[in-house]
Amino acid sequence: MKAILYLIRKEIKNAVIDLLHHPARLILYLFLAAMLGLSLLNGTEREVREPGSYPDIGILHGVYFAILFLITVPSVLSGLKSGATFFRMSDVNFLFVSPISPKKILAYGLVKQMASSIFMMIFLMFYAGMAINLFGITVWQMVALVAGIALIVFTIQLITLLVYSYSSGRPERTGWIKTVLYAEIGMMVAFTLSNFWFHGANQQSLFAALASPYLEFAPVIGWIKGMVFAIMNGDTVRAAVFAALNAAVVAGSVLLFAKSNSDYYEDVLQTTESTFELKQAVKDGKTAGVRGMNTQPRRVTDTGIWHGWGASVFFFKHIREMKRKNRIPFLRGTSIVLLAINVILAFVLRAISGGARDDGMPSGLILVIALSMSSYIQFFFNAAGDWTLELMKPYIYLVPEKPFAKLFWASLTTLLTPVVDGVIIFAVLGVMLRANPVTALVCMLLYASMGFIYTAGNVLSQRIFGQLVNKGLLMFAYMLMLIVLLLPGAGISLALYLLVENIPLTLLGLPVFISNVLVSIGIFAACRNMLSSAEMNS
Amino acid sequence: MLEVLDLTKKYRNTLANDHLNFRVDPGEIAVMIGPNGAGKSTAIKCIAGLLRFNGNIAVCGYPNKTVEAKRNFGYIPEIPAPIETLTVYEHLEFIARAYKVEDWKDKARTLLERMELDDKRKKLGKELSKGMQQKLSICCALLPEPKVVLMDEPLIGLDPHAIKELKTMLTELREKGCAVLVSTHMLDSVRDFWDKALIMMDGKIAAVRTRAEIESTGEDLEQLFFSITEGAQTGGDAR
Repeated sequence: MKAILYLIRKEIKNAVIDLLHHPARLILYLFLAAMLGLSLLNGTEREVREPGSYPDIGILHGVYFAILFLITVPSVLSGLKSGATFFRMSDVNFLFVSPISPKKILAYGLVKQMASSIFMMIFLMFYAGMAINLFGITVWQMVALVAGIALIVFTIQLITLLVYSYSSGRPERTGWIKTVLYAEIGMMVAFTLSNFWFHGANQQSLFAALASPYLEFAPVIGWIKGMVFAIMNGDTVRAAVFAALNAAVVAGSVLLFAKSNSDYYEDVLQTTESTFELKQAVKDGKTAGVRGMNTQPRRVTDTGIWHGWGASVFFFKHIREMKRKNRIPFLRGTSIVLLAINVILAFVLRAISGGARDDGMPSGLILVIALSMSSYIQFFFNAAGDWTLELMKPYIYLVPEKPFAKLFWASLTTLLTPVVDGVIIFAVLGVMLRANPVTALVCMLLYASMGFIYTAGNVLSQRIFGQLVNKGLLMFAYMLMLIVLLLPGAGISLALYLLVENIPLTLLGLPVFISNVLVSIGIFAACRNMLSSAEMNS
Repeated sequence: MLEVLDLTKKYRNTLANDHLNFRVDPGEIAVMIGPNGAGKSTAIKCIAGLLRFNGNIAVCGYPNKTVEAKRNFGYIPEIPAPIETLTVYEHLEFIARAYKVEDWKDKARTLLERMELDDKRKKLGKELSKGMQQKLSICCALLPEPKVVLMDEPLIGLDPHAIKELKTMLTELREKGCAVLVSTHMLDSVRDFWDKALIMMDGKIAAVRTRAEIESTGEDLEQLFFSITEGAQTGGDAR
């Protein structure tokens, strides 16, 4: 145990020293801490509005339940396949082979996992100000909400570990665990739908179902939600009951795992190795590594690129790669997922705002909400675009062609992908909502232009910050840069809104589209020689 | 011909390459030898145009980052990085199209046969073992028939047949008048074919010897190498 305590002590000490040796990172953390403080301060000093002026607290129940649900279910399902881990490769290489008892090593892993859950909680607090202002809750209630999320992350990791250990290599056990999991999900869905059946499919009955105390009896997800909202409401008895239930699950899982399986190294080894590779890929900015691990290309039936000569071969190579991953180029799995999310969103917004009646939410507004959400999601998809991945291989630097030609052809699929996605999403939504075709068209243009600006921002950040070693800082700089790049269009639209009375919503989008396109062209022109001065990320 | 003048590369506070000067003539195989961390890979990456640097590097008389220079050199990286979703054949097609290599199919077939990859034509990059990835890198680098070849630890991960074949290829390249620069930390692996040895230590070229010099003076390259890298005074001069 002495060795482990020494390890923990040294790890903490060296992390602090390392931080002091990297002033940029230290400044970033201090900046984030100041932002967090401001956000909380803003929350505590808010003006107290009339109770009725806040949105239904049921929305908070629903969103929170959905967050817990989305953390839990995929994690347990993936745990059935590949297990979970809270160990690092260095633990495998040094601790697992050492003469330290596996149980002590397990305890060490648990403590570290708890610490990382608490750390994650700090980052979630950035949403505190928004939630406090929106729902009129206190800072401490917000802390309870975030602590609940950290708790479920910790608990689920433990359960996943146990589940994998119990079911690994035993299909019948995997089967029944899946049955239990699906049964719990089924019961929760059935309960919500039954509320629709008895009280009508509307906003109120949805919120009533999600805020219902019955749902809180669902194991783990319900218990943690119940505990958090009981704490928020000052119901100590209820909070204690749910806390005890969860503590029993945690303690039981640890005991079962440690007792039944002291030889757990093999169970965590594969996942530790995959996690290590994944982290290494992310650390190096190699999203290709991440993508490679998660996607299975189609079986090779034919081989050949067939088109392209010189720099243009990068574009046709990307098309060949797309065809290998999906039958139709540009129509990726993520496009379908994005479309499905938007269709569900439109359906839900329409349903809870009173259907297609006149007093329901206007189709134009639903399209705008879908556009905002899709643009936000696109930010993450774009970060792993073909263009970014090309920078990780040497060919883009080695091929004897003009840097601008290579830059253009290598980023063309990344630029065209949001155009295709935008056309599909907003054509489907437009027809589904019977929206004004002009509004749908403007949404398509805006969505595509957001893709252009993301790609251009990426090119610019590579040009300016290409040498920055810390990928976290690079991402932070990239996001700040995007805000600046989006400002001209947003500023003109805001000015038009303030200056011109009754201006149609669709017209307000056009300056953003034009500005995004012009800014993107400007950046590509200004960074045309970027590849001459870039350094390969390796 | 490859000419490196005053090449300096600094990473934050680390001077990875400190004013390197050397040249590799047509028909010459130069080996850059040195312990781990001596700055060999950094130098090769700078020459390949993958890193920024201070100084001048010319490939066949052209600055190394120009299109003309890139057309004239081939690069075999230390860590092979195939494109996960392209087949072996498509890698070669991609290189042929990118470098505008006419009549490439016969050349590609010959290279694949020599590297025993001809039966792996339809294998995806991600399905290849490390050794096969390295063989593919070699094929890709040699397909455009470059006048300068840069190899960063090229023998690591190769099977005995591929090592033998690569050594034969290197001597063939020399006979064709190609300038070859090979970086390695394994002296034994290049013993048979080097013409010029650049011994690197702490980012500097600590000594330069040609095979003719070594043979005429009776100096032992291995002894010289260890005396430099292990700190003894030998009088090894950089030329």
